[in-house]
Amino acid sequence: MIELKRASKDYQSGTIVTKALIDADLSIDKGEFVVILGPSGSGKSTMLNLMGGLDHPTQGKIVINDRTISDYDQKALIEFRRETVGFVFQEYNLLHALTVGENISVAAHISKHPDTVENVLKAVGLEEHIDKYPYQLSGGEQQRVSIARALIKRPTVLFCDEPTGSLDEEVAKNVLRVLKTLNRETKTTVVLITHNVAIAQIADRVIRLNSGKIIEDRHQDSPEDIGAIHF
Amino acid sequence: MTLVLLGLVIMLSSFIYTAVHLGASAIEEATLPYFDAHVQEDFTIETPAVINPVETEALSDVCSFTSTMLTDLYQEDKTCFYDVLSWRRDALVDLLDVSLETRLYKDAQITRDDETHRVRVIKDSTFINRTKLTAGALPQTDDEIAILENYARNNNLEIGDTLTVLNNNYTITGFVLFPDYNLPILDHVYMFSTESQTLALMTDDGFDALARVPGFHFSGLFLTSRFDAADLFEAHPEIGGLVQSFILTENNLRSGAIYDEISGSYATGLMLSVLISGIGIVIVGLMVKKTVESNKRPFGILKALGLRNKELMWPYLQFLCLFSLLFLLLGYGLGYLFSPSFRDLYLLFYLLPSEPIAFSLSGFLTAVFVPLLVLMVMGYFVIKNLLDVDALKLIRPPVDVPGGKVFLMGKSLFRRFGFIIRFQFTFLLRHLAKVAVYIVGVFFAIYLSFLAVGMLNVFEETVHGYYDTLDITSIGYGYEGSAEPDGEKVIELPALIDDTQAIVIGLSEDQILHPLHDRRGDDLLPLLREGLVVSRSFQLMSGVNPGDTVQVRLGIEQHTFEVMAVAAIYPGEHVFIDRAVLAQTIFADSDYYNAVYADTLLDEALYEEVFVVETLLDEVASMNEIVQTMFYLIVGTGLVIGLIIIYLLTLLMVEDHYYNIALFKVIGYRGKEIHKLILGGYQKLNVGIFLLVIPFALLTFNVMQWYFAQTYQFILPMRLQVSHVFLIAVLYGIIFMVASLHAKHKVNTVSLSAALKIYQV
Repeated sequence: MIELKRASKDYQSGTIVTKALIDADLSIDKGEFVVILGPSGSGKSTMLNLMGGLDHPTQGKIVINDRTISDYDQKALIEFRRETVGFVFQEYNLLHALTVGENISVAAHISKHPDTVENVLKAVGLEEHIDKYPYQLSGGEQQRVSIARALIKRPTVLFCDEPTGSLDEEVAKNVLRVLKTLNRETKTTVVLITHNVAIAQIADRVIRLNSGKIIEDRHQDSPEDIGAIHF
Repeated sequence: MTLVLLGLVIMLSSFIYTAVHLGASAIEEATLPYFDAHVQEDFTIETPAVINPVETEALSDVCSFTSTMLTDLYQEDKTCFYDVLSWRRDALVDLLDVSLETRLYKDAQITRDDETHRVRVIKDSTFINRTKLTAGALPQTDDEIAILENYARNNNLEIGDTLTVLNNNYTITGFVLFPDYNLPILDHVYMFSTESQTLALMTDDGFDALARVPGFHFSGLFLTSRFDAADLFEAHPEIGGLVQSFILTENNLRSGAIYDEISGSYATGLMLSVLISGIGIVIVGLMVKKTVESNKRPFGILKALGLRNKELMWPYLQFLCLFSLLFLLLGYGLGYLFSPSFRDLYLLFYLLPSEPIAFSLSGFLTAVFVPLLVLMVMGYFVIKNLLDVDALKLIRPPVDVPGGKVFLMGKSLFRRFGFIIRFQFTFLLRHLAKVAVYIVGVFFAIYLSFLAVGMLNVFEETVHGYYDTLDITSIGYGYEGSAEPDGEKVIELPALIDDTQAIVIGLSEDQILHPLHDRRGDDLLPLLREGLVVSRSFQLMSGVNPGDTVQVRLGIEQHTFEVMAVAAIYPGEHVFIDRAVLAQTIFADSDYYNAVYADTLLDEALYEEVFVVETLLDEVASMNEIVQTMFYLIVGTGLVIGLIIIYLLTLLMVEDHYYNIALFKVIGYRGKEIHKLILGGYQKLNVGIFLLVIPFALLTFNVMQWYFAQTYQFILPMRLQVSHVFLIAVLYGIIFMVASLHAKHKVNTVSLSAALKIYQV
């Protein structure tokens, strides 16, 4: 479903070239819950941006659902993001002038077959907060709104960039539970990047990155229960 | 690019103020002493062209009156003509606490190569409106003449050259100016071009020998208290038979307006400058705010390291100071350079002395240092306000929470609308202060453009407006032939309609060359049998409306008529009446006429004077060209300022939405959809503002028209044409799109994920 074929990404600043991702080969199946683990600067965000169609690789190919998105132009990438993927960011990235319901509608508006606002809010446990503004919610609740916004388009893949990075342990676990439940019940592929080793314990599969290279790719037959992990 | 455009706005504010201030000062400093030294009249009194029975009786011992009209009397008995003038002057002096002097003049033709120019020869005065000699000497013999320096310069004439007036040769002895500026108004159309018209002075004998019937009025000075026309007619209701019009010098466009014009120019220049620099200052404020906001994190880090606010803001203030000073000085320099052109534009209309452009310290300080100071103070407070928080808040700024009552109320208003409209207006309401600045800026910019294009028609209509509605080729006065004249008979007489001076024109129902239509194009000639038709200009000046009853005063005769309709005629204070009725009422002869309108060139030998319409229009053509160029310059400047303002504001507004645009792109919104969501609200706002400006412009144009008509008896036919509205709409649409595209291009250069990490609403 998601394939990286010798994918590399270089960034150039003046005469200095930084190799953010080097020859990454990877294949993720539909419905997997994958954690990409690595320290800051290891290339995990770059990998997520490439898989999510936010950026082009310098070399190699990115294939999603048999479509080589690394050959896509910006217009085609927009169509790809529109139909296929959802994003959840560390900073929630909600629009503060809109209510919870309106924030979710922003994504529903461009979807061909969107879920209902009520359904996705129920899925993240926030159905009571539909008319509230983001500033009236806690950090964890805001992140769950951002997950609901990503889900309303019924994406086949959900990319999460440090979704619990700004949250304390208990709240973070709640968010992770939501993601895990969605993955299990809707078979939505979840790709989550984090530097937190504990979070990796709940994944079906863990991919470790260091200095732009994949140094480990392992499947976990018995992931830990969220309640059992400690940050 | 953005900085250059902003610099242009700042520069224009200094440029406009400097050009107007220096140009007007150069005239004012020479003019005010000139008016004092040469005893400019306080007022002018015009008396009726018809001799009234009181005069006939009073002068019966010395005159045997056989004519009803003064012009006819001059032909028959010059001494008696002057006796009537003296009698009228004495009668007025007895009644009023004033000094009066008779101002006599004759209009004639100058022959120059193949061209015919016009001259108004003034009989020198004794104590009011004394002649100013600007070069050479006054005429000493009957074959000498002094003329206007502007006319001489435009026609390559020098002192010592010969000028041919009515086939007689005169030697030019010098150049003169007269302080009574009602003189250059020739005929009933406001025009004066020193390309083909001049005022002139001859010796008294030379003046008397000129074979033309003199025109006259009384120039006056108040001895004790001042009064106006309304006071005069109220205090002396019986004076109507003697006074056709009473015009205060300060209310005469050519003379009085100069006071208001000069002081008004200072005010207008300052006001325009303040408006433009005000917008510039607001934009600078927004840009400074935006720049500092986008560097909050580094500022926070520097502050955490121990740097003070002053140290952080100093480079910004230094740049702001140098940047503003550069463009303000540039504006001042350009203003200084163009101020002679501005002064000369004034001198096209006003025959005034002037001085060379001189540096003025106060003007320099006002044009450069006042706006600079305001910019610096504003910049200082904007930056201080942003930096005056804890370092941590700069590094990690708290979310700007919406929750104001206006925001919530506004949102509830759009609750029932569809997603897109609700979203668009939510974002407008979210940035209410910025949107308010945007509305004011765009409103001002569009209005400035409307004002500019509205002025385009003014001169065209003022000069050509009247004749363009007619089919007349030539007009003959004083028919001396024996057969029926070859044209349409009409009567043209000055009269007083209630308290407003007008030219009464007697037309016949079967008139072809002088059609009379209302705004809808309906023929008004048949209505003349029932009453009066007034021109739109006269209606504006007098305030009369169809259905009103007015008093028409021709000399001592006074008749009541009903106003039937308003003719779509600009300019000219014209009142139309049935010729037979007028002729019978005033002259007891239903076939009386004193002018002939023809669609051919009338034979000059058969008339005392023949005016060829095309020549009249040609006379103003060159002047038209200069003025039109100036108008285009004003129009262009207005449009450029407007467009820059729109461009900068749109750019700022789109850049404000960096974060939103990035977020929408990540979610999967197409370019068009983002455009619709983010810019759609501003587009609707722009359309709304545009539609609001149209009635506002129409209203203010009408107010300006009314003000000029009431104050200066001058019609300013400012119009807003559909094509102009369309043109401005297209221009602003293009500018809006270009600015949006420019801003979007900037957005595209930022990594989407990086944008989401940097920007927050």
